[in-house]
Amino acid sequence: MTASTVNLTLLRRSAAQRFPGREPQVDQLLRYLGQPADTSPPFLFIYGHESTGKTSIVRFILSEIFDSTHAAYISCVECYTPRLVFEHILKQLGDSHPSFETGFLSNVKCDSMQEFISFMRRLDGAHQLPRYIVFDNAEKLRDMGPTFLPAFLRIAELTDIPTTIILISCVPWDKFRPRNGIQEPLLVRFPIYGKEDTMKILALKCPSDEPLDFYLSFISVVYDVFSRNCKDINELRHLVALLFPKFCEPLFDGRAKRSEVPKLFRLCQTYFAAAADKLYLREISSAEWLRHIRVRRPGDDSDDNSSDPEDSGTSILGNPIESDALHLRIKTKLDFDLPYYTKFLLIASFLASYNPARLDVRFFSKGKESTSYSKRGKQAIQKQMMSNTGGKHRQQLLGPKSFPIERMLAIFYSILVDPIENSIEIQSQIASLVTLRLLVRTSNASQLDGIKCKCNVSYELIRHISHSVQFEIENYLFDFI
Amino acid sequence: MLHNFDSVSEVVLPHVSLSGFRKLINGKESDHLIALRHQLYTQVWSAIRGEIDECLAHVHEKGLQQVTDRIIQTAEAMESISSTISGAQAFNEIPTLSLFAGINLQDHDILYTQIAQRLRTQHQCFVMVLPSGQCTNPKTTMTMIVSELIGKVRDRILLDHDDVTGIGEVEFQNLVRSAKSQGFNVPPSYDIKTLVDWFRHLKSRNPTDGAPLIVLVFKDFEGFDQSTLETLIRIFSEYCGELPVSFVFGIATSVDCVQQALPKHVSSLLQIESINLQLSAESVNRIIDRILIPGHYGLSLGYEAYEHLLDQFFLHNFSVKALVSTLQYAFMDYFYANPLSVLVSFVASPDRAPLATGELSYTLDSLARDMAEDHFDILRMQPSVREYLEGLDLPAKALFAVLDDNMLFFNDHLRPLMDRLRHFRLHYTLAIRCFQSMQECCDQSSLKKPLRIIHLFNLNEDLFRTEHYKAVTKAFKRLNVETVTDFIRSCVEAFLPHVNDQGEGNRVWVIIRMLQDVIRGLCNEPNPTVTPDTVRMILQTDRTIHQADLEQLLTGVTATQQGGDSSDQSSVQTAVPSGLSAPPMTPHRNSSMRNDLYMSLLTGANRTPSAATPQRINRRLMVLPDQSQNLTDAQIGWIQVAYECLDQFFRRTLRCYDRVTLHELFYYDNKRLLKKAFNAQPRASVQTALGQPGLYIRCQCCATHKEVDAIHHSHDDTCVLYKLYLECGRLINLYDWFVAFSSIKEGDPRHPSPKELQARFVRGISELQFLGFIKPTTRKTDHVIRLTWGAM
Ligand SMILES: Nc1ncnc2c1ncn2[C@@H]1O[C@H](COP(=O)(O)OP(=O)(O)OP(=O)(O)O)[C@@H](O)[C@H]1O
Ligand SMILES: [Mg+2]
Repeated sequence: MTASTVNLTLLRRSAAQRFPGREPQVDQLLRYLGQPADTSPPFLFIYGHESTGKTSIVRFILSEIFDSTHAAYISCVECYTPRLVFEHILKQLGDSHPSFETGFLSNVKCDSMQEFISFMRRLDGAHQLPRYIVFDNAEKLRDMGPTFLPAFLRIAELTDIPTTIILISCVPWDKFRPRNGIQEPLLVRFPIYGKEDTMKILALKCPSDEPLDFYLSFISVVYDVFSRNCKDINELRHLVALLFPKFCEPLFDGRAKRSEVPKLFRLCQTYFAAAADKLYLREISSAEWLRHIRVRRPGDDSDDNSSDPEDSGTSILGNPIESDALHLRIKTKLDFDLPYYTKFLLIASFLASYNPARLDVRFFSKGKESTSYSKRGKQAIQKQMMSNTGGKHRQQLLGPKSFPIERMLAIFYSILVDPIENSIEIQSQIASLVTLRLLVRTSNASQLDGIKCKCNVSYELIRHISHSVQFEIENYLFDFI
Repeated sequence: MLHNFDSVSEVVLPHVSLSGFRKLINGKESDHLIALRHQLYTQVWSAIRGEIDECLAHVHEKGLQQVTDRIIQTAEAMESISSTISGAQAFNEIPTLSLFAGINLQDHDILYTQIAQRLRTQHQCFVMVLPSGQCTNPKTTMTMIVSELIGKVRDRILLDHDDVTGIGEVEFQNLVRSAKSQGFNVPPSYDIKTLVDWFRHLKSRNPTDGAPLIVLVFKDFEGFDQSTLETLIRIFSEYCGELPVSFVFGIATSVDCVQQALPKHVSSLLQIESINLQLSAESVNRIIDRILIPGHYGLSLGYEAYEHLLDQFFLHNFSVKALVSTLQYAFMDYFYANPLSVLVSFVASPDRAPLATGELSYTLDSLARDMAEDHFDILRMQPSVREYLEGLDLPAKALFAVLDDNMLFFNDHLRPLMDRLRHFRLHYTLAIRCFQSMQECCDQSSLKKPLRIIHLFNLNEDLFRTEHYKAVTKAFKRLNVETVTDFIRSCVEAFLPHVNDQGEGNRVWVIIRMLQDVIRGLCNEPNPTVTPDTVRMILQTDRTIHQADLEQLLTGVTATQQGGDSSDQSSVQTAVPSGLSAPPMTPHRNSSMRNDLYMSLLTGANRTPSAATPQRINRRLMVLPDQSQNLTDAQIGWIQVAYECLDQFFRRTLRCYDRVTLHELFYYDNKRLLKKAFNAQPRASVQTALGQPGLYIRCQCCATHKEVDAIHHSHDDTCVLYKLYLECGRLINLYDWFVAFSSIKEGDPRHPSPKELQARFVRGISELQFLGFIKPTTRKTDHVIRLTWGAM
């Protein structure tokens, strides 16, 4: 079988159209790969940040140049064991997929490199054309053992068929290079997009019924607003898709005209803020966001002056949008509850994690008028500490320290108002705090003696919790702001 | 009384496994009664268990519906998003529902099974509930998911084509066979590709209806391995377009944990919505409301046990499962240890009385015959029974008869007492709900206590003595007439089917009867014969009044009032006896007092109300500032009496259980046992065992030495060492310890050799070390460190 030739110029043009801003990389790749029958460099490494188009471009080019039995594409996320990697490659190159028709059985069982190589040798058309194996998310390959990648890089030698290995990763090559030396790859770098390229890419998705200029002015603002925090194409696209309907809304209910872009932005400003707050962190899901938009789509905008209590309340203030955005501020408060004593256990762990052990006696000794004493003690010590260390090595900045359970229990019993008996229940609650990851075990799991833990909760949470049991944690924390 | 002989004792007992029930009363209990107790326990508990399950199902119902609806909706929304927003597919977001179900993971099992069940049956989804323990790496997890789903998918295909019933499977087997002959003999690797293929196949089979949704439930999200999660999410999001997948995260803590567990680029692949489904407190409330308060099966919990139950739940673990176990233990202990538990059927509400029918059914009469002398003695020994008997004020001879004649005691006293208890409970249950709705009428949220707390108050002391009751009634007085009327009406409606003028319910019946008049009065359509003052008087009497009496009385009173100005006493006097003759007199001693009652009533009625009214109104005006203007004078009179009437009503019905005779028998209150069973105190037990071995080892010699602290050679080695240990300081010299040990053991008449002693010493201290009392140290040679301080 003779390989058909591909018109590389045409391909270059269509790639440039699909992927604006990536012309140099496309050129470079095409130069390396050439025609299907050409021999290519044995090892390419494609590196770039997330969503810089690595996967899409490589797959596009490969599918245009080669037919599927010559290029295998492996996503290392999906193929989490060597066996899966081998079998996926063999299936793609051999063009056989288990399916319903084969009863989901497969004809290859390949567990090791040796088997893999012998299978590779036996594949049809072995002597004809070079092969390509692409490993996407290649950083995962490192988990498969130290010899896995070096062995793959010698696959051409071992099978006597020219084979090109292409790794795609967002981890630089330096982090891959094994200690005992390995063939160096040809590098292709996919840099982060600048504003211009980003705009071009985003503009590809311009809705057909919107004028391009209008859309461009919108994305340019979105880029300006969010680019400082996030230049990820996917994220930006997500934001654009969700914000654009909001942006257009005033057009439909007649509050603004298409030409009044600044006014539109003013009207939309709160959503931008809300989006930066919530949407980016996915604290509010896009479905919720959309559901929200859908209510206020043109056509049923009558509910603007409806009797909806939330709306009418704020429209008196003459700012219906404000209410909308506020409405989006879904409460993110902590809404899980713990049993009473479990809360105290958590508080005690927090104290044990952030207070130095040597001060326990001062804070928690059940002496006369303990609070005033400890407060005074606290200030004195604080002063002394400040002069010594300048407060630089504050535990608060260093993160939680691990503590022995016994110490935590001692604190626990001393901060309780009414003493309780030590029972199995307390122990089991500690265990359940660990399951909930509110406490993290730092000692070995097999060690039953002298268990050590860390407290894994934030100050806000612990304050909230201690507030709910009327415990003033501020008075018991040392050197904490 | 013993004429209707029942054949119970003749029934040959079926072979019942008594599962360890012992003969009580020093082994004198009859086999029949043991079997009965056991049977009662099984039946009562299984009935209660059933009710608990119903309660849980009820509480879960709404939440479940919400959850399943939401899962379906988001999945659908995903599709519509991709159609409305251009390029949205590129996000590859997986619709995810995070479910906050409270911190008690064990309780969630039922919940998730129910969710899965519902999704399967109502929406034909494929649901996988993933246990975190088994999902430790991507491989096992994917294998589990894929193999399980494929199995299901195949079932589905086969089911859908039931016109060729059976052929589907055969067809598949044929495929497998022919594939095998072509060399396809490796079992599938259960990766995502296989799953996708299956799905494609499934869709091609029936292209009309949309492909079913796959729901993966991560039951305890916190417990999952983070990198496994990450891999799973990335894989499924990659195939979002081909496989409709939804996730459910069961989160016990807060949303933060998703962000904590997953890096940003992974969490942005999820489209998370949250639902709060913390049902355990609600479940417990319902269990208390439906099961513990009414005590339908004859047994309730007393104050201490009930408080213990609540404390365990709210202070310690939030676990419904633990609560149910404790409850079961209480019931088990009751039937196991209390010979009188056989009486329970007779205080149960009639529709649920256990063993009312069936082979082992029994009646009071048959039971009375089966009970031994000791049963009756135990009965008479109950403090409340003694109090009751003393309160009877019987002449010595009659009292002796009661004490001596079991049947007399049983029939004339025990029966009515049990009836009374049953009525008390019934009225209590109804009234406590009324009281709760009374709270609801008030505005202050601080007054709105949950039923379980009111019940707790009430078990502790009579509710009307508590501050809470006073606060509520006070707030209630500020409400407008309509609310009050409606509230009274609802109370009356709740009670009417359950009261009659006979027996124990009489006082409550009278009050309800009066409340009816009060309602009429408040609605400005009073019964012409009744005035607020008559109501008040009738309320204040403390006697049994039967229906006929009452009618008589009311007309009589009216007659007096009408003729009141002429103070025509004689006409009234004539009216009274005719009223008296009508009802059957139950207690003989009342008949003479009846006259006094009427007399007192009538004299009360004769105080001309007109004189008192203005002053009273003034007082009321202060109470009801904002209502006075739009109320008629009559209504003001009525509303005042309404308050009194309600007060009386609650005083009557919401009494503390310990004022009711026989309460010891039907209110379980062994908190200590429950604590011992469920709140083990390992440390304390170890210390007692070592310090007072006699409590655990019942040997003769231990019984002989009385002083607890003395160290005796016959004690176990470890105990001796422990006692010596208590006298030591922080560092213990092993040699000194050994010397002290041998000198004590010298008293042993067997005279153990020094070698043996040394071996026993070593064994003893290693036991102490194992128990955590000492620890070796490098600080000083031949020393160990003491790890405990005193008796903590
Ligand atoms: N130059 C471009 N033109 C058009 N679309 C682009 C371009 N670059 C990236 N995209 C789009 O951005 C999305 C993410 O790209 P892609 O998945 O290829 O990035 P990646 O580098 O493989 O990311 P990751 O490292 O996370 O795997 C795709 O939908 C792709 O179409
Ligand atoms: Mg990629």
